[in-house]
Amino acid sequence: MMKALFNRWRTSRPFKDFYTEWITSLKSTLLPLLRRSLSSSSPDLLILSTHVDLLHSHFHSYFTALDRASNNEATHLLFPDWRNPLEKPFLWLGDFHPYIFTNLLRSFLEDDDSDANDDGQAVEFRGKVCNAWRNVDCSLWHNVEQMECGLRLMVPSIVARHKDAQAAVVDKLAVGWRRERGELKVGEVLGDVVDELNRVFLDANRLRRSVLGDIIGALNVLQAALFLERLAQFYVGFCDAELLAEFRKASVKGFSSSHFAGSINYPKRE
Amino acid sequence: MKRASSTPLMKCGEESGEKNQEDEEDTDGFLMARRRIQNSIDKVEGNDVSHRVHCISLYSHRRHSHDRADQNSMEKYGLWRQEQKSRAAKLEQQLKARWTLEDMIDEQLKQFHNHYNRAMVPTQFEDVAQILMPKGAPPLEMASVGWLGDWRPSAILELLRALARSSYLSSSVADSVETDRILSQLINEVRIEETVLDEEMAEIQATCILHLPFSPINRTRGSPLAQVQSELKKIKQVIIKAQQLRFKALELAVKKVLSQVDAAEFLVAFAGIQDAIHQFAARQKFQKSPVSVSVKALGSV
Repeated sequence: MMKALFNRWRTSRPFKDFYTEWITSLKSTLLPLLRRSLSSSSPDLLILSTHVDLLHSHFHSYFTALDRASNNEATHLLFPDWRNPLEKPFLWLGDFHPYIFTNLLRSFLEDDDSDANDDGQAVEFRGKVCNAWRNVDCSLWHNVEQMECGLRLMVPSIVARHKDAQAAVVDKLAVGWRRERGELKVGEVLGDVVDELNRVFLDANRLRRSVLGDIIGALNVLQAALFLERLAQFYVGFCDAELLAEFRKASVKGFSSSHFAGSINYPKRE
Repeated sequence: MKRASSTPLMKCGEESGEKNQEDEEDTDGFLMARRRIQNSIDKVEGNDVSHRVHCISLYSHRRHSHDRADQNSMEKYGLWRQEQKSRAAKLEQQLKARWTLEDMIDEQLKQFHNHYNRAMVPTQFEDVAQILMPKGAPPLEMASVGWLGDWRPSAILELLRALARSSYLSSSVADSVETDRILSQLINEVRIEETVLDEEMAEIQATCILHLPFSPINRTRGSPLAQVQSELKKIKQVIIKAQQLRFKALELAVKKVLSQVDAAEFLVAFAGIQDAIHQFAARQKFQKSPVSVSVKALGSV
């Protein structure tokens, strides 16, 4: 009883739970909804537009949640233990690299090959893709280039700030070590750095959110629907239980060509 | 003092030799090695002092014997020989201490080599995630000094430069100016190598959306699992290069830039600082509740 009351009134919950629910609703509700309206023989643009908005705001809410959770916790968000071993290697400062958005968009724009598949549904689906991305306005190309240009400036600067923050840490650690040795006050040294790491994380997150927003803003409804469908599929795909189980099973076998680094021997001075 | 070689950093990492024992560098091993090096430094310094005291007493002894001119010359000669012998013994002891110090530094470097280039190289597919986001290393530690799974190579050198600047090392002022110059150059080179690897990693992470099985774009190529594995293989290569760079940075600093005593002092400080930051971050992780998000602010999701 008390627990139920407590749960009802509590104002925050673990991010891990939030993420699980977020992925589940993406996978079981929003993505199927969008797919249904995309695969109907005569897509109703109004309904499609609602589903596009729903999906976009779902992503938006995720990035907002990351922002809010970063309140002094950014280091945990930079190394999220709730992501599975399939996802972790592909994360850049807490989530997927912002370039995935522009790369995905480019793959639509540059894909003019329309004879890839021959099963019925795929042909219909493909047909729509072709129509949606055929003869796109040159302003869209211009937009993509501008977004990529922005990313080329922003990504290295965020990485450099992270690097500089780390350099500041070691500088202070060295000075502290000289002064206090075993009594080194790590907490004091890391205080400022944690703030800067928070800002680095927030900027990385903001970059993801703004690139996604810019892309959706630049596309028409059908294009946005196709784009978001694949983006959602990408996020959801990492959590596919079957693939994950298969991955874990195969993992034990290891990489086929194993790396061997010989041991070293320092020559003795005579 | 020896200079840093101008050979490209990544290329001089291919040493091969006899099979070494696969000692994993754990905290105990680290602390023990650190203590041994510290003891060895103390020993060198201690011997130095006793040696000086001995010389002074010999000097006064000689002056006395000079006053008594008709002292038996045989006796004098015998004494001289004895002095020589004891001097040589001291010198030998001193030499031995120096060899021991060098051995210990080499041993410590070998441990780093085993750790970075053998133990921390992924052998299973799941290892990739484990190395990049190790469960044993608290997030605060990884975020403040980590890069691709362990200490950032340039940060190791920056730590050394800052220690040298705060005159923690015992080298002379003239030497430390030179050390600073060489270290700064080395840091620049290592930072460039890091940027190259950052870009390689970013390329994999940025294009994975086009290659991974669940994106319908590439569904015709291979099984989903095979595609994931092929991406992870690319990341594994980046990790291997990162580990080599880490070791190379440490090895160059210790073997080519620093004098033996400086190198030993640096290794002691590095181990101590690594330990301090790890302990602090682990305590923080233990004390803090898991990351949470305000429900109210988000509304219903």
